[in-house]
Amino acid sequence: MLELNDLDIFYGDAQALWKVSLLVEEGEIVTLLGSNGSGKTTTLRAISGFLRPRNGSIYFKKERIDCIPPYEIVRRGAAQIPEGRRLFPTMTVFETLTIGAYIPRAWKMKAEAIQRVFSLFPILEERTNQLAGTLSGGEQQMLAIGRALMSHPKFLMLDEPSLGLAPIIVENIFNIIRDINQHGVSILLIEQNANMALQLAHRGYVLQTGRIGFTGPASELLENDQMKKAYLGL
Amino acid sequence: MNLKLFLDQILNGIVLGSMYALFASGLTLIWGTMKMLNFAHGEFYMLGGYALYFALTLLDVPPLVAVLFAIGVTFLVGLIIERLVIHPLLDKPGWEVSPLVATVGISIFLQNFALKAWGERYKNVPYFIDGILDIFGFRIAYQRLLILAVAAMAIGALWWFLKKTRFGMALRATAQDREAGMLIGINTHGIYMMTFGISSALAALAATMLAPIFLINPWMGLSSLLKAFIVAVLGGLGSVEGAILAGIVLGLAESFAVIIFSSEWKDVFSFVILILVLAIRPAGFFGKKEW
Repeated sequence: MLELNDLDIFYGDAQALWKVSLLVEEGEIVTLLGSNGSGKTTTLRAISGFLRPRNGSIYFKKERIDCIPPYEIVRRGAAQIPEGRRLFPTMTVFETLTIGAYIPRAWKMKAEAIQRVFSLFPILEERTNQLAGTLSGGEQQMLAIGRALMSHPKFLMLDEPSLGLAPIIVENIFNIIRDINQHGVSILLIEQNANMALQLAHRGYVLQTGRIGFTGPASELLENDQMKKAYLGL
Repeated sequence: MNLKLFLDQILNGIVLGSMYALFASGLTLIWGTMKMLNFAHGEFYMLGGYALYFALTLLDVPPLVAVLFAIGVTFLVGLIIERLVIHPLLDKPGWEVSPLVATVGISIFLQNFALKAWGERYKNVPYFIDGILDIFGFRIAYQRLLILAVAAMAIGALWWFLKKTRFGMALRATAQDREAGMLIGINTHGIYMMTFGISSALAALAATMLAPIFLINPWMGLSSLLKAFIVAVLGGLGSVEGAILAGIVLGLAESFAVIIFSSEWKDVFSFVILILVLAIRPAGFFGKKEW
């Protein structure tokens, strides 16, 4: 589904990623872990076309995407839920979901897609005409996921969906991510909460100051001694 | 002040204000979406006026066709200028003011182009409809009624476009969070081009309605631009609703200023309002509120 090969990313002269390689197979949930500033969001911004790699390549569905603009990447089926959710503050829940279906092939099916989002997140249906900016944190995260689903993605990237949310809501959201995955959407989940992410994911990668430090099946990473010390707080 | 004069001034104020509203909403639309001021906005108004004049005199078409022609031509010029001049200057780190400076250049260019190509003599177009409606001694020229009707329709159409259509919603999304807009598949450069075109078309529409009352000349955009800035700032830069409300308020205020003081004091009065509003409510009527 998604393949990063030896990616080098620079901000001006400062190198942020060194030879990052990462693979998401069809149907997988892969998590990308790491502490603050380790390059998680940078990796995501490179995949979605906001940053251009100096070296290396990115393939999505066997086509090279590291040279095409962000909106075109979405049209090919890779959606992203950005860090901090980035909702449109004065659009209602209904408007937000509607414009989520902006790409031509999704626009025709938007009514059904909205119903599907409402069945995933019943609370959003109750908030149909409320402004996005006035929702609670958990509802905003749900709306951000719903907006991304409106484009019928085959691949979904989530940047720290648990940030700033109560544990019970995080659990709810992680269950829904699993549910989305079981409906055939491959997922790349970026998290600081390594424990929860590894329980959900099939495989994991750990970024350490711009380089991939560990990688392996989630169950192995959960048992890895170094991982336990550094990221799992055990 | 008797009742008749009072009603007359209310009507005049609303007619004038509705044009301020149309003209300024184009300016505020560009600010809201592209986060830049367009100093050439008045020149698109001027182009609309000339396009109308030439359609009426050279092509000799009926007024309705001439108005549509003027709007269409100005829309296209807006699109092309955005693509050729503004677009290459956007998104360059450290070049943030360059699009704004470029619009000053576009303004000077278009003014001098008009002067060179069409001369400094003022052009005059006839009223679209002659005659005066008389209800119980309360007299209104049909041209003014027409302006009101057109303004109401245009504002309604703009509202519908922004709230209900795919492109209009994409424009609002881009205005509120450009990067998030890209992440749902919006080509935001395309939206910028379209915003510029629509803004120019709104200016042209205002010009076609006012051309029979005022006169067409290469500098007609300047004073209008100043008014549009007042209106846009009063309403809260970036807020279309604010621009519409502020346009009407300013129109009414000016028309009463004319009879209470005299017409020379009209602009003084509008700037006093601006200064007062900025002192009391710096963000304008609808400040910070995005649409």
